Amino acid sequence: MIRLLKIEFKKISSNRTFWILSGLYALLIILFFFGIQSVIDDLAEEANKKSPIPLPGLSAYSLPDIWHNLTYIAGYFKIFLAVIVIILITNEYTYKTIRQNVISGFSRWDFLKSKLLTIGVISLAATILVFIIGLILGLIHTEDISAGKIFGKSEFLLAYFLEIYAFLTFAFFIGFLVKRSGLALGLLLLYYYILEPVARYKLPDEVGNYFPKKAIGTLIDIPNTSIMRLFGVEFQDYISLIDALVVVAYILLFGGLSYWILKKRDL
Amino acid sequence: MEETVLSIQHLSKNYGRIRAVDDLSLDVHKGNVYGILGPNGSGKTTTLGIILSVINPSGGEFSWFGKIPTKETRKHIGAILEVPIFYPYLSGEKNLKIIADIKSCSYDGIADVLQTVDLTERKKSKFKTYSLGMKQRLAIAAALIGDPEVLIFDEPTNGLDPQGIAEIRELIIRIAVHGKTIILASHLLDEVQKTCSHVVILDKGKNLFAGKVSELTAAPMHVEVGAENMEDLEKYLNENENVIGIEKENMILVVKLKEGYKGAALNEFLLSKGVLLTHLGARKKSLEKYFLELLAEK
Repeated sequence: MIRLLKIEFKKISSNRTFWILSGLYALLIILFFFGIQSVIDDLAEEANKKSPIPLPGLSAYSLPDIWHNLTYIAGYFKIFLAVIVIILITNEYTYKTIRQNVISGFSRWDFLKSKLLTIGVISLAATILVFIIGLILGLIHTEDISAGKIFGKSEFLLAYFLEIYAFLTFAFFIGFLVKRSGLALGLLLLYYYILEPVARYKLPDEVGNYFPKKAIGTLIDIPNTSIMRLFGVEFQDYISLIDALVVVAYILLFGGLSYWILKKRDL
Repeated sequence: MEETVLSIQHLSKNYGRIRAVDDLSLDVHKGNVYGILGPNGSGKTTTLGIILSVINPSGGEFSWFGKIPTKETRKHIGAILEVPIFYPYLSGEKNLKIIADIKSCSYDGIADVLQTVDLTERKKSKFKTYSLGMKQRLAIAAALIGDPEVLIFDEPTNGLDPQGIAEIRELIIRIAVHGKTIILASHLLDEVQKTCSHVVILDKGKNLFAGKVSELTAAPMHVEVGAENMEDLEKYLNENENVIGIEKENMILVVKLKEGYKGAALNEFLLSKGVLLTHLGARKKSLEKYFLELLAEK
């Protein structure tokens, strides 16, 4: 396993596209979260000034709720990571290096494993990034910090990892299927923003909720805000085991389908 | 008995209705240099792709070193298929390191193979900056990593200038001297004749001939003759029952003789008929001639 990761790392070590996109993603996430913090702060200050009674501080960034809020919002940026994964896999086809890898002594399973491991590392890195941002923002915005507060709701981080990994496996599968980066990205966006929403619109929720985008996307549900409570809307503020299992099932499905294609395909 | 390195049995590959490889059987023995010869589209690359496990056969089987092919058997084979394939944004050296990693062998041999193909100076340059000749040489270096028992080169001189072709050829001959088994696919007959001990001729995925190059080019005897009076010459040659065939070629005739009947005997016969030869020469048949004959015969 370490051997495969070392090979993968050598492949991407001088891949400028990969590092630029990864850097941009990290920058985007960091700027976004620290940026909206100041927006919220301003709003709170403004509200405090106008309010006759002092308002309690906004809880968006206080531990442990921050894990839910942050992982939910960060989920919107995962399409960026999908682009990176699609490039990583379609490059192997464009350069035909997948063929040379097998000729040199990879089994097809070795090849797939090395890619799925890389996706795991990318997902882990994305999770760690959110963890660090959350920790910094949380520590700043939380009074009476305790270990219980810091690690409470940390299951959202695990769910976030699962969400990213499943989504990237899905993107990988599409890239693997069509071999070309532009086409793969187009198909992913088409499915994500048009095909599945339209299909779900026509179908009852009991079926639609199990579609990949919906299942993966609602593993972490929308955080409840006071305004939503006012309207009587209540979202799921925990991670359900069933939801997690559905997402794991999708990881196995897309990984399995990729392997099946790889086995049958001439390289 | 020579050790069999590769054994192919009744291999076939269909692309839709097209049979790229058609019931191909072949044994490759240790230490020989095999040329796989055939026109473009004769199934050379497909066959090599199958024995390297990147193309799934439609039927038949093959074994390496007497074993079922796995990734472990492939680690004892160094191969390039069609064009040199590397990560363009990585240096030549880093590309070779990846191959060494995949083959689970150390980096110790990399400096040596780079030296062998004369790329030491450019090892830190990105692959995409290499000239075509350098790319081909790096591909040969890649094949040599891990000191494999068998080397497979597919059209290694494709697209090179005459000097590049000569360099690659010399390199292959130098490698062959070390007792490696080499399989060289080419559509250049001259290349095979100059570098190979054995030849396999493919056409439309079928095995037309497999044997030694010397066997193929030795018999039967061909003699070039020329005389002042070409009409008489041809007339008397036709009378001679030891002459199997006559071909006109510019100012001379190329005569095919029965086995055992020599040029001297022919000269004596013609002299007795009053034909004085101005030209007499033995001709070893080129592989090209044989190749064309074989293709025409079917």
